[in-house]
Parts: sequence; structure tokens; C-alpha cells
Amino acid sequence: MPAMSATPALPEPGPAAFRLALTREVTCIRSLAWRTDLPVAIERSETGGGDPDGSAGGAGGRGPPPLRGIDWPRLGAALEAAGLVRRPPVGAMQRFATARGDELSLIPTTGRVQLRVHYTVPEHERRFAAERLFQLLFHALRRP
Amino acid sequence: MDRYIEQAVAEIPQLIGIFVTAMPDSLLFSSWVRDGTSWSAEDVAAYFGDLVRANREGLKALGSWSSEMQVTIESAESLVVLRELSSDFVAGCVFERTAPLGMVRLHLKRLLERITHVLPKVQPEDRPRGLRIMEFLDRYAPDPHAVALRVSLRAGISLDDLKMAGSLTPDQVQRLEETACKILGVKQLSL
Amino acid sequence: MAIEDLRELLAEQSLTFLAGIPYVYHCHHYNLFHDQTIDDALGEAEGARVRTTAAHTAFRELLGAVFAATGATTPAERISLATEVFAWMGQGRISLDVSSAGGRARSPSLHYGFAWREKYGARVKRDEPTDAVAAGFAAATCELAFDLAADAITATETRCLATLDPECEFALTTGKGHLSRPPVDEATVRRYVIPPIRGLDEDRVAAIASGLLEFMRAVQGDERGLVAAFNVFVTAHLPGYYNETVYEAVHHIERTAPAGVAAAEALMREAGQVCVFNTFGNVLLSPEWEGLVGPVSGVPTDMMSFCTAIARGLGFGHWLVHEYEPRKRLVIQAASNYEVPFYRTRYGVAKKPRSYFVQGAALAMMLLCETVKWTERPQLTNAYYIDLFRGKPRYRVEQTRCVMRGDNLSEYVVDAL
Repeated sequence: MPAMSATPALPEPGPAAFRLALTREVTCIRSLAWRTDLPVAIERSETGGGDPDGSAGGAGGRGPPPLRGIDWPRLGAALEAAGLVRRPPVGAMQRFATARGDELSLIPTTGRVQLRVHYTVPEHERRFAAERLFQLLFHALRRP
Repeated sequence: MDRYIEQAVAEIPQLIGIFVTAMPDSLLFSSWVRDGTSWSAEDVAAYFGDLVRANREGLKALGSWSSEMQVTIESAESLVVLRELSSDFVAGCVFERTAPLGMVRLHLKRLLERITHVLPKVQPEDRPRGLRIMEFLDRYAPDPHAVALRVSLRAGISLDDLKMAGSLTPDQVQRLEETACKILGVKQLSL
Repeated sequence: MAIEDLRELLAEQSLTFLAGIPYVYHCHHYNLFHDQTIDDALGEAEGARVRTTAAHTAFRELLGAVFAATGATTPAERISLATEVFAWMGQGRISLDVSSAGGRARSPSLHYGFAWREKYGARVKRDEPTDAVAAGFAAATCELAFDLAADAITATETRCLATLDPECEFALTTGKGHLSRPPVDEATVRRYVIPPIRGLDEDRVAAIASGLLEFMRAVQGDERGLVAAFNVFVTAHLPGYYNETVYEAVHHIERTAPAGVAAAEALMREAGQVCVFNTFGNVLLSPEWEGLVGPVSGVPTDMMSFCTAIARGLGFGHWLVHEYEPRKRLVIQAASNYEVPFYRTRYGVAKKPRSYFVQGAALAMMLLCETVKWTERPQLTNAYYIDLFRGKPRYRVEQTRCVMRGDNLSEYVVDAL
């Protein structure tokens, strides 16, 4: 399944230079679940630039990026600050929900992120709802 | 034919795939798809054929059908143009969604003219209705993996008989057709 | 008393109970395919009747036990509790406006109607309602709310989401009444289980199953009474419903059209395949699984252990891998499953093995563990299902032992062809 392009890169420096792609997740319910993967081994930089659609080169586009790890607790706090509600974790999986019931599930051990649009969203709008969640995640990653 | 299509499409960078469907059975005649595309050409060709047939019948019902008609579909990810090449063949071309419509029409005109030139003259075979119904069910039944079992159970036709759907008796064909209509939720089959 | 507090677990057998009545988890793919198979076997009208009757009986058992356990006595109290239980199960949220003479019920979100529209709505037009389960539930609730005899109320779905109505509606009228059947409760189930046996990789299977059972304890219907988990719609459901519909349909075919038995049994096995492919597959690829167990390795022996653990985690009983030689042979045994107690209680000893669901599931486990490239994130689409299961068969399954037939164990052998 081809990767979708997402939000444009933000101008200010952010946590890490890596490529974020939003793809359709394995799912039986049409277009409900989406996925992106955050780097597990990469470490966070003071100077790197975020690049969710890879348009600025992404990983490898500027030479070996000076990166440090995703700060998962900070990411969780940023998602809560953005209005998401933390839900009970499932093992290593952390869960955050919007008021409508869309969900972001993060697995720090593997870097997998699932973006689950609520099933009441009509099918033709699910992709856009997923993109909005993706943007939310991106901004949370960029939050100082 | 496949090689000829490949040569013809080489100059159209925004073309993702082309499917030539033999009518009236909506069977794949020839196709080309860009590398890295994992479509099932047989399925796509069959659906395109059925779509053109439905469009033709709809326009006839409106009294506005002409052999020049063309169907253009602008989906989220692609631009699809369907065209009847002759009474025996339909072409479906899939372009990148960003392709300008004017450019698509220009390319399409040239491409289809060249393809039409090399299409054979065919004498359509009158294939058994039972066979065509089973093929139709394969394409449209909600659970195609189970459709033979479902038909067998509902119509009282043995699985062995269904494997030879071209040799069913008229009574079996009638039961098969009634069952197919029931499974698909339609009053009659558009074969 | 909270509904969650009515749950019980017979841990060594991986069997789950609500107020002493067994329940299991199944997804919408299985539920829809199951009901479709019943209608294929019996036709729409008789299929709907049998499904409604089965749901009616099953929910009478459950709700009777729930009301007894909670001390709910007034009609209002019972109706309120019943609808909460129904929503908790992921069956949907339904409202009832009833008296002892019947009335009506309605819902904008029932599992079957909603999921049918989601899965098939764009492909097929449907004329008949889908929600026999909700109809049976509504009839049982009304009877028990007003202390009426079994079958004193009949419910019929008159409008349905699946037939493109804006919501589902049911008419409840007085029925004829009939003698109630003995319930298949925990005490009955215990009579038809054998002491648990250790299978291959038992410790890991048991640990994962335990984690899944714990996770499932937190799964319950949302404000619409639906459960979207593992990328499917999930229900807590009553084995009594599945069993009564399956065996009534098969017995009917055996009596009236014996030539169709093979097709009917094949479809019931196929339902097991549908379950393993969709439910097990989506569980394995879900972030929940990754959070609980870790990413799947794709190694066939690992995957077989995982599938066995999932079966236990969903409350299907104590399945175990007795023997597994990749690409050659798989032997699944079950010290308990949810089909046996019902069959033996209702029909006595079977003349032949009849665990159709597990037969199909075992075959699907073999194929899934060996064929699917799990680490490549496969899309579990209908097209992929067809690729896996259609065409030249690679394996055959035979149930060699069956507790329904009086054997001391249920055993399913999958061999390469």
C-alpha cells in the first residue's frame, strides 16, 4: 500500500529528522485504522528538523542525522496537552483518545503508532480524519 | 497484443494501467500495468466491462446512448476513463489523479486508436448461461470463497454439478439464477 | 452489582461465564457468516425464525441468571439491567417500550445490522432484517420483566439498518408459550470438560492466554453498545445461540435434504476459517497484541502457540497443540469447547463428530501459521482470504475424536495432502 503524504514540515527546529509516513493499517473495517512508525533507536537532537512527508529529505537526506530517542513520556504529555485523554494502557501500549473517540495507540518498544478513526465517521471522511490525527501527533512530537 | 500495448503506453508517463475487456462476458483480453502495481487484471477488467454495460443500458433507458460514449471517474487516487472500442471490446485506462483531464483525453484518443487497429474481429461464442452466472457470482457475491457451497445448499445443486456449470440442466440453471439473484439482492442478473 | 462483577472464569479450561451462563467472544465477520449459513441452509424465513428462537432461549437463560444474581425484581429494573447487559456485550444499545402484552423496541446501533452495513452494504442489497439476536433478546427481556412464561412474547424486526432504514425496530406481540428447555449453565458445562492437558509450548500459551483473558475483561460496549477492538467489531456472545442455530440447521438438512449435508457442514467449517482468519489474524496484527506480547515473529511454531492462546483468550475452551510438524501435520486437542455441553444436553450422544467450528479453525490455523508472511504486515482482505483458502486444497482436516460422540477428548487432525 503506498504511503500517503501528510502535513508539511514545520519551520522551527524539532526533535528529530526522520521520515513519518501515514499508511493504511491492517484492518477489516474499511479505512478505519492507519499507521505510522516512530524510530525506536534514534536519539533526539537539539537541532534536527521534523519532516512528516519526507519532503525535506528525511532520514539520510542531510547526512547522518544527530538524533536522540523519542521522549515517550513527553510525547504522551504533549498529546494530553493537545486535548487527548489518556486511556488505560494495554501492556506496553499507551492509548490516547479524542472527544469523538478517535484513538492514538503508541508502542514505545517497537515505535508503532496506530491511528484509529471512530467507526461512526463515514467511510469517505475516514482518511481525512486520520490525517488530522496524524497532524496532531506530528505537532505533539514537535512540542518543545 | 500485450507487447503492442506496452509500446503504445510508453509515451504516457501518468498512465498507471490499461485493461482491454472482451464483451459480453467481461473477460480480460489484454492489459498493462505500471511496475509495482499489484492489481488483479482479471478482476479489474471484469468490473470495467460490467460497468460499461450498466452505463450502456442506463443510457439506452434514457434514450441517449451512442457508441461514442465514455465514462470518466475521478476517484481520490486516480482518474479512470472507460471507453467502448467496438461492440466486442472495452478499454479502461487508469491515470494518476493529478493528470490534467485535457492531456488525458489527448493521450487517450491516440492510444485507443492504435489499440483498436490491432484488435481482432471476433465471433462471440454463446457461452452457457450457467457458466456465466457462476462467473458473475464469483465477481459480485459477498463471500466469493463460499459461493459454490452457498449455491449448492440453497439451490439443491450438487457441488460436482456446479463444477461443470456449463452442463447444468435448464431446471438447474433456473434454480441457479434464482439463487444468484437472492444472494446478490437483485431482481435479475445483468449478464 | 456491576455487570463486570457477574463474570466468572473457569481458568484451567479457559471458559468464561456471566452470572453462570457461558459466553465467548466472536467478531462481526464470524457472526455475519454464521447467520448467513443458517439462512443458506434453511431459507430466509425459517432461518430468521430459528435464529430468533435460539437468541430468545439463550437470552432467557442469561437474563434469568443475571436477574437472580442481582436481585432485580421490578419490570423497570429488569428492563434497564437487560439493556445494559446487551450493550456491555457489544450487541448494541436498544430501548424497549413494552408491557406484559408486548410493545416495541428500537435501536440505532445493533451489532449485526451495523456490521452488515459496514461489511456488505456497498456490495449487496438486502431485503431481510439482520437482527434476530436483538429480536430474541427483546422477547426474552419482555417475558422476564413481567414474569411471563417462555415464548409468551414473540418479537419481529420490522425495520433494519441493513435494509437501509435509519434505525432498527421490533414489534413485540403475545406468543403461544412453550415449555422452557434446561439451561446450559456452568454446572452443565463442568460435566462435559475433562481435566486440562498440557500441550506443546504450554507455559507460554497459558501465560499469553491469561493476559488476553485479563485484557478481554476490560472490553465492553461503548455508548452505542458496540465494541470496536482488534480492527473488528467484537461481541461477547452466547454459545447457546451459535449451537442451537447450527445444530437445528444441520439436523433439518439431514432430515429433509441429505444430499446437502456435505455443503452445510463445509460452510459451518468455513465459519471457523472465517473466524481464525479475521479474528485471530487481526488480533495477531493489532497494536494491542504488540503491546501485550510483542511483535509477531512469523515462525510457524510461535504462530501456532499464539493462535492456541487466542482461542483460549476468547473463551473457546482449553485448546492445546498435541502435535505439530510444520507443513505436514497438526493435531489440536480440546479438553473443553463451547459446542459439546450444548449438544450433549440438548441432543444426547452424537453419531459422528460434530465440532464443525473447531474443525474449520484447526485447518485455518495450519494455513495461517505457515503461509502468511506475518512480519510483512499483510492486509487481511477478502482477496487474501480467497488466495489462502480457495484453489487446490493443501490440507485436510478430520475430527478423530469428539466428546459429543462419547469420546474422552476432542481431537482434530490436519494433514498435508
